[in-house]
Amino acid sequence: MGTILDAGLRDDLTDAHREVIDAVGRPGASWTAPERVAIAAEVRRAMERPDLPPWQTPSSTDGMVAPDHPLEAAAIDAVWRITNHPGTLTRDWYDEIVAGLTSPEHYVELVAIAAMMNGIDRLAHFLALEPIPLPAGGAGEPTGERGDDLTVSSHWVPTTGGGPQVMRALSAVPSDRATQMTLLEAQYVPPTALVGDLNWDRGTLDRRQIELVATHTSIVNECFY
Amino acid sequence: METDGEIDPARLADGAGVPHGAELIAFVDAIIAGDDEAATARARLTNALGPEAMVDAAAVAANFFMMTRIADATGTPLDERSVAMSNDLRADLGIEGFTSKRLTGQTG
Repeated sequence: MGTILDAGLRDDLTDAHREVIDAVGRPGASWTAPERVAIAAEVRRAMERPDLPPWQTPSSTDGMVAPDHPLEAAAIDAVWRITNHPGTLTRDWYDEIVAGLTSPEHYVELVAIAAMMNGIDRLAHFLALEPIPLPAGGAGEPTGERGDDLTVSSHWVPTTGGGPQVMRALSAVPSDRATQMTLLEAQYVPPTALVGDLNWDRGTLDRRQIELVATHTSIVNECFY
Repeated sequence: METDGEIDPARLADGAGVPHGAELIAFVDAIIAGDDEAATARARLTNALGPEAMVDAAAVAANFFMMTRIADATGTPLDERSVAMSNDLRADLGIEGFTSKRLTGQTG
């Protein structure tokens, strides 16, 4: 049993998964490469423990977090909660987590990594494939890249630009947002077709079938949006 | 069982009137559960729609594990247009009773 990278799937899907893993191994806007890899690794640890209830944090549970862990407790707790209990997230929870991080932009980048890792690892699981091994994490400082004119207005997190609200959610971290859009296009539909071409398909499932799967999966996840 | 090209939300669990909708719903439930039924569900959907369609259905499901986490973790509100368009749909699907709705009190 191999990974998605050697499963013979369509090229854009394979390339998008490779791009996510490569991006995790590079310095981000706020986190170093080893820290980003640690975030991705926490997603995988969390997926192995879906039994941990939302009110119990790994950082407050004996033996679950090593003393020399590279991430702050707030970051670890956020990754686990986002991975296993996204339907329980509240504004108060967000405020508490961000208070334990360096900046809201650190949080947005963490969300981007956690969400993309959920996207690629769930597909591997759904197809009975192995997850792609995580990279070591290269050297280098965070880039400091930020979206222009960020404001906290519609979302909990700072955002910028126009378009559908969910497409703006990661606008504080442009590079990760671009990688996420590539993955979205490979796993779902091109962003331009979301509302611009409701008949778009790639020759396998028609758009109604695609949206049926999307809707049902969102319901299973109790997604408020 | 089709509804003039529209998805029938009242019949979502039965496939909503979409061609092969029931098989797609069963497939998603089985692969998410990840139990012994998952292999059977993959084989069944492959037989019904082909291997590429089976992979694409799994990819869409995986994508919405990503998107739900982005939306819920960033406090993404519904677009105003979507709120207006989806009042009836959200009522039909029972979304107003979701845990996140109860906790946040958001209206959009």
